[in-house]
Amino acid sequence: MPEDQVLLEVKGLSKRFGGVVAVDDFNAKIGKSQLIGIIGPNGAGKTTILNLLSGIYACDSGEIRFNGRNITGLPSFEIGRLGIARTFQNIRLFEDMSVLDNIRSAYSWRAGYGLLKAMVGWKGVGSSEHRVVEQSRHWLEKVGLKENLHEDAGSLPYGLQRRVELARALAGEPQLLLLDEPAAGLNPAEVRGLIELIRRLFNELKLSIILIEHRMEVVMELCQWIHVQNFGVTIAQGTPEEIQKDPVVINAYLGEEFECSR
Amino acid sequence: MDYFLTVAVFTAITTLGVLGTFVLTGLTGLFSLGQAAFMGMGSYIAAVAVVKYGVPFPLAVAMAVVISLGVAYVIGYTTLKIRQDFFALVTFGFGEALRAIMDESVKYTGGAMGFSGVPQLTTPWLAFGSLAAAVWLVRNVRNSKFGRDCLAIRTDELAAQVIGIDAFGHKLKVFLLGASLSSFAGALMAFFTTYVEPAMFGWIQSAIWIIMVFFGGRDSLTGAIFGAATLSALPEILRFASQWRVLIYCLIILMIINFRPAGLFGRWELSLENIGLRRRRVGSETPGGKSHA
Repeated sequence: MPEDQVLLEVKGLSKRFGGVVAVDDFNAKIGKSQLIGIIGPNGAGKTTILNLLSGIYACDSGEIRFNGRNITGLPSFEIGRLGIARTFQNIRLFEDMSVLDNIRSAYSWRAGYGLLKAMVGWKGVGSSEHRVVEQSRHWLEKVGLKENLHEDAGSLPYGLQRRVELARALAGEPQLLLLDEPAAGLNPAEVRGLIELIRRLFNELKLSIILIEHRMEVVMELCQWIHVQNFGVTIAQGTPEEIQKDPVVINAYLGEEFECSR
Repeated sequence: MDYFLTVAVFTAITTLGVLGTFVLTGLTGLFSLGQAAFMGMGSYIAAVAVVKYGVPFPLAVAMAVVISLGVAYVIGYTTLKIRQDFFALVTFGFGEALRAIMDESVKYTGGAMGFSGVPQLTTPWLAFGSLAAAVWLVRNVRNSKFGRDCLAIRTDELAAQVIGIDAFGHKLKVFLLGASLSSFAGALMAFFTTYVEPAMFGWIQSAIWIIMVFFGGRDSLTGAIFGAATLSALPEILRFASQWRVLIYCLIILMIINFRPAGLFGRWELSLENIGLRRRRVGSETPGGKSHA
């Protein structure tokens, strides 16, 4: 991969919680407009990787470079502003706020006015808010939400909440989007819709996506490259075809099923 | 001054102080048991400056607010990074420490005996005008991105950070705004009652302010004003019921908390649109979304 095409580069990323090594020496290189997946059994450290990338946890060792800039140890709000957005496995919306306001919050740091201007009702506040509402509606339409924009986000059905959260992440206009099990809790029809939605957004917006998922159809259909994690260690990586045939991967997964069926 | 006017001015000044609790505890979810201490600080600084050093009244009020802002910056900068339950404890400690300082520095403050002989310079117009201006400022803040950020941080600080909201910086600004409102109210209070004593500004007073905000509805500015005005005037209004008034006061609060957990007004705001006198504009939605009253 040529150097100017690299969006995210992760070197030797490690994180331990007490005696447990959650992530051990994770390395990855993600180019612009790439969709990669991270799979692995429960407790493999997948979500920890996303938490490290988005600055929620500080890593014990390793380096994260984004657009050539070292972002290791930056607070999560700065990483968000640099262009890494994410969703959460157990949806984290602002439940008491309207759907529209959830998206508007993603524009706060770009609103173009400070506390003093807001206090005295400076005239730029109104036009800024107007623009933000229009842009928020645009993102909501992108994920297929046109109605119920004034309802509480927490009162929507689960599948729609996922879409609101996705729209909120997109409103940050990220170059890199981290999706933590976006298909969790969705029924088969909704999973199909989600696959189409992610594919469409990926093609339209030319962003890079890192996807964590348990539903194999989602990963195998969407991802160009897959990392397989087990007990914090990368045990394999490759294209979906290679991963499906890899004996190490089959062992890790089938070994588990053997245990279960006994 | 007429009895009812006295009660009204007293209520207006208290409401102004409670606005500080509204932005901090109501909107942002930071429980401060030292909010009334900022009122005390405003009172004492302004009163001592005028009485002991002959500083002109407007300048003394400005001094009170500026010094309180400085103290709030130090307190906020050091405590707003810790967990929110510890924040309540630290502000409790700060409030009580400040009260102890007022109690002990007898030479300047008169100690527990109180500080009297303050000229009555707060006119009813000054009190009502200040309250109106403060309500207007807080309303603007609440309807801007700052109102949304407050609610976002209160609901899910981690998610707010991830979408680029600097939670610490935001909380610090809210803390400063709250401190300036409460200390300004304190300065007006000293020059209205003409007498201040440390016992007026302890943690119990801060707790009562929190009750007032939750009584009216912590998401609603209308509710906070209503709660503050009603509950600070209520003990006066119920005076005819002599020894029963505290009991009635408590009963009313319990009924509200029990039957309307979101407060009397929920998220409803008084506005020309909401009472049907003007059509709704795009983008004029309040941060809480639709009204639920």
